[in-house]
Amino acid sequence: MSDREQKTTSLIAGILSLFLCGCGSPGAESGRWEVLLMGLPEEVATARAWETVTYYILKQTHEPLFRTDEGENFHSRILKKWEKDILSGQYLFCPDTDKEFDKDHAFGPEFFSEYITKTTSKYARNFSVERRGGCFSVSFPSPQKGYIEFLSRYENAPSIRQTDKVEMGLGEFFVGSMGGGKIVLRRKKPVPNGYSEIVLNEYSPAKAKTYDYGRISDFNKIPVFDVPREILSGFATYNNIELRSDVLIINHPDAEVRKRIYNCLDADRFRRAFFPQKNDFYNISNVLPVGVSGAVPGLPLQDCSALPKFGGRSRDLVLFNHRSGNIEQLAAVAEEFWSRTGLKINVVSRTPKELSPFLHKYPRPYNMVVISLDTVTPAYESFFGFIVRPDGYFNQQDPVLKKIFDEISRDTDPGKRALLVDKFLGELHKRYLILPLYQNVKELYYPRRIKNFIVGREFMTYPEVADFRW
Amino acid sequence: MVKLFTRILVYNWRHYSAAVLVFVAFWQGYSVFSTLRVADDKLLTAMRQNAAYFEKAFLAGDVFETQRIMWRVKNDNIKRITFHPVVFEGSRWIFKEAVVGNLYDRPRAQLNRSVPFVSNGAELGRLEYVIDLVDVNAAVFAENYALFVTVVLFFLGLLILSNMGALQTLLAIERSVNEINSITDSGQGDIIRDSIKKNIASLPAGIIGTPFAQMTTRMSEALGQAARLESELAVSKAVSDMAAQVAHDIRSPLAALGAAAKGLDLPDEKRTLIDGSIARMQGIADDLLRRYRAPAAAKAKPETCALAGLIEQVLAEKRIQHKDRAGIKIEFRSDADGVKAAVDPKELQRIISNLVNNSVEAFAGSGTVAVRLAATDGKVLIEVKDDGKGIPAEILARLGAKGETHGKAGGTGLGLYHARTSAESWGGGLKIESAPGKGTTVVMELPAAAKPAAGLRAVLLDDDLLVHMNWRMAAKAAGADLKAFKTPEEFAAAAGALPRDIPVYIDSELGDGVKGEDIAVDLHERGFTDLTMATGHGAEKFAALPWLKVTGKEPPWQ
Repeated sequence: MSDREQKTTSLIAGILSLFLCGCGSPGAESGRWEVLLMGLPEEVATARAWETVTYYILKQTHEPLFRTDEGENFHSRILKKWEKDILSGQYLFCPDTDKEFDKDHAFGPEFFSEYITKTTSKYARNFSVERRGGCFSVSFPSPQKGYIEFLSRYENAPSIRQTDKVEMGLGEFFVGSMGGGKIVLRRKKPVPNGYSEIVLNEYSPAKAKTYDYGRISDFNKIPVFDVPREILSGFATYNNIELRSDVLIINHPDAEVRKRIYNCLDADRFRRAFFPQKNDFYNISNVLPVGVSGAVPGLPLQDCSALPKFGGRSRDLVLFNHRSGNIEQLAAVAEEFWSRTGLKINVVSRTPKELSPFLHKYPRPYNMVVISLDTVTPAYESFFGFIVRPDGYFNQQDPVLKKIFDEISRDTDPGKRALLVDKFLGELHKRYLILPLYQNVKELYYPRRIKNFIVGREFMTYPEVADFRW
Repeated sequence: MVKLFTRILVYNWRHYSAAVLVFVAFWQGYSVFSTLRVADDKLLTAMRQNAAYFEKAFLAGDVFETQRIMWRVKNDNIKRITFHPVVFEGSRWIFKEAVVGNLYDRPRAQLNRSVPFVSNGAELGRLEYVIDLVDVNAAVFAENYALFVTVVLFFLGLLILSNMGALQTLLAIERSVNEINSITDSGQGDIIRDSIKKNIASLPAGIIGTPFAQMTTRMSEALGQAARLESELAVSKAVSDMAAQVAHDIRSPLAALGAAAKGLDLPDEKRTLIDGSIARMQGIADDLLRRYRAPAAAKAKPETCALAGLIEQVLAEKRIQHKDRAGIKIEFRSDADGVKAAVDPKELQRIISNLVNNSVEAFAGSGTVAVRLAATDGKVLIEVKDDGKGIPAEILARLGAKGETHGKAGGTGLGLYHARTSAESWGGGLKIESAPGKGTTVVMELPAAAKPAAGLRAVLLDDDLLVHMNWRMAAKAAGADLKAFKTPEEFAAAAGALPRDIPVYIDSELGDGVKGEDIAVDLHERGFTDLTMATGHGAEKFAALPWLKVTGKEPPWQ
């Protein structure tokens, strides 16, 4: 090879290698997506889709019957064909029998028949399912415009039991292992330039400094101020419209106690004490973050002056604290609260992992806990559901709120929904179940090398890792 | 046909590829440009159509709805839209910006544009959008793929059809050349010309009369001439072979004649004539054989000779030869004794002999041939002048050319031709002056040779007295010392006194069956170091005696 040919070959090889090297950002190890999450679940099931971490997992392992494109039209990745009549009273679904959960469990007509019957029964009492060859017809006596949206929720996605604690869906990944502070999801069929494994790591703020952030692809679900600056600089970022509200759950059977907590625990003081590292707080006055219709910016209306000290019998209030480095500040807030109300707050520090088992089961041993309400779906269910569900964050469920919530779920008319939402918020306020603290607007960080990082659709705080390519 | 197509592609693939690439590049560029324009227009149109809805959602702070509208505004060729809202008091919009689309950046391969988002006269903010040129190019290429494939095939068809005629002509030419090559290889050169003519006639009409056809015609003529020359060469070789055979075969009878003549009791004059003639004939035979064996060498070696002696010798023969013709005088005058020139002595004598013969044969009755040797200004002139009938001017101009003869029955025209070529090969020339009734003068001009170094010596053992005479004259002219012996006995008697390094020249045939090479072996054993066979035989006869040199009958002095 002549000198000139050698130089040309080297130049071409160099240019190609620049394109091919990936030049990946830190944390984006080839083929593995590592994520830090607060509180890994003990069970992966569609019934727990309302939980943020479980939802994160379900987004990888399950495929709902329908998806919305840019929030308007529905389409399906697992139906060959679907139809409905103009009045939305009759629906026809033809499952794609080429899909399978695994090689032993196909997405066949027998499964679909049982699935659609069971799922529709959660939506309505009166309906009929009829098989037509490879398709199934679902008929309602009256129009059901919300039916497709109902079927597009992850909690209603087709699912089978993989183990007693894990369900498998029609998604690209399945749960490979659970335990040891991590959950590993493995891809069913490898693809070139795509992630083949997702590792969800348990995050604890107390151990913030011990994590190897260089391996992490996604730390958007932990406080970003825990992540070293030099790591952040290696990621691309954008300002995310994160519709997330952090609220204080007030789980006490006595309404008077709840009233005093709501009005006399200064929201701003409390949030600064609970998150001493955080400076910016966007104020919200109800459980809905600004951006969701019905939200009202501003601090919640609190008036402690009209309330005398509590004269009834009450044990110490238990505040579960999953953060670290805030004991002194919380103690000061508790002191002030006691002086105002005569109610003592006992701050109990627990890691998110230790906390997790108590959150959703009766009896919940806490009276107060700070939680984040994420929009797992762009619907009110994320902000209201946990209040009315038995496996939410409260020991008691209010039937009035449940009734209004059910109506909201069913009604698709925007005007009517807006009225129902206002009604729900009003009833919620009367019961002093939740003290809104702040709304989170954050910068999201993502690996630079991903070439199809699409935002503005179903919120990238719950990315579908299967779609990413570099 | 496949071969034809393959040839077309092989010859034209570069131009074809360039044409296809140019088209593809142009069309791709044009398509991308159009796509970008359309993308812009679609975006702006969608913005106008959705402005009112966007305004309502923006003022309500409804993030979901604003996102939905932004997706409607964005089209497939826009990679990403970012909305930067205006800030005003009471705004429910708490976010810096809203983004929909792909965040992946190719800074050097994307266009960034910004337009105000206006609804009913109010600016809601700015809409920045990004168009990724790589994505657009890929999408456009995918759309144009079918067209490009069609164009590739279309160009290919065009290429084949437009080159078909030219290539068919080329193939016809190749067939002709192949035929010519095979004819040449088979040795049938005589039919090449006819073959070429036939092939030219079969080429497409457009070729006839073109420089190619002219070149081919000239080539056929050249080939025809080459075939003729080859044929002449073959004839010449046959003649040469025959001459060599004759020369070889005649040597024995000549030797016999020479031996027989020795035994005759003849007057001196006749003996001289016979001996000289026999020696000349032997010399001619030797010369023929030498030329046959090493033609380049035999031709290429003139040697410095004293011309007077050579001329005298041959004129003596001529006088005897023509003595029966009454009134014929052959005179010689040397105005330059001792003058030498580098010539082939045999050839020179042949030339003189021919010239004299020409003059004598041109005499109707009596006449005088005057041969004069002169030297002037470094040149030697040999003049042969007669007072015969002369030569007409128109014939005079052509004399000296091969085959041109005048007035001589049976003349071959070779004599004067050889005289001219020989003189020219020796660095000289030949002039002929003549006029009808005034005789003819032929003058050969040669460059004179430098005087040879003196003091050379040699010993000669040869039974031919003519050779002795030649050598003595050459030695005298060269100022060299020569001892010549006729028999081995004479030589043996004197050998003891001879220095061992003296050059000794020995004839191969010494008479009475004695072989000169045997004498040479004996002398070699006795310590003589410079031994040379002076013979007409070839060197291969003495190959077994590597120390023995071989030369001809000519004296060694130059």
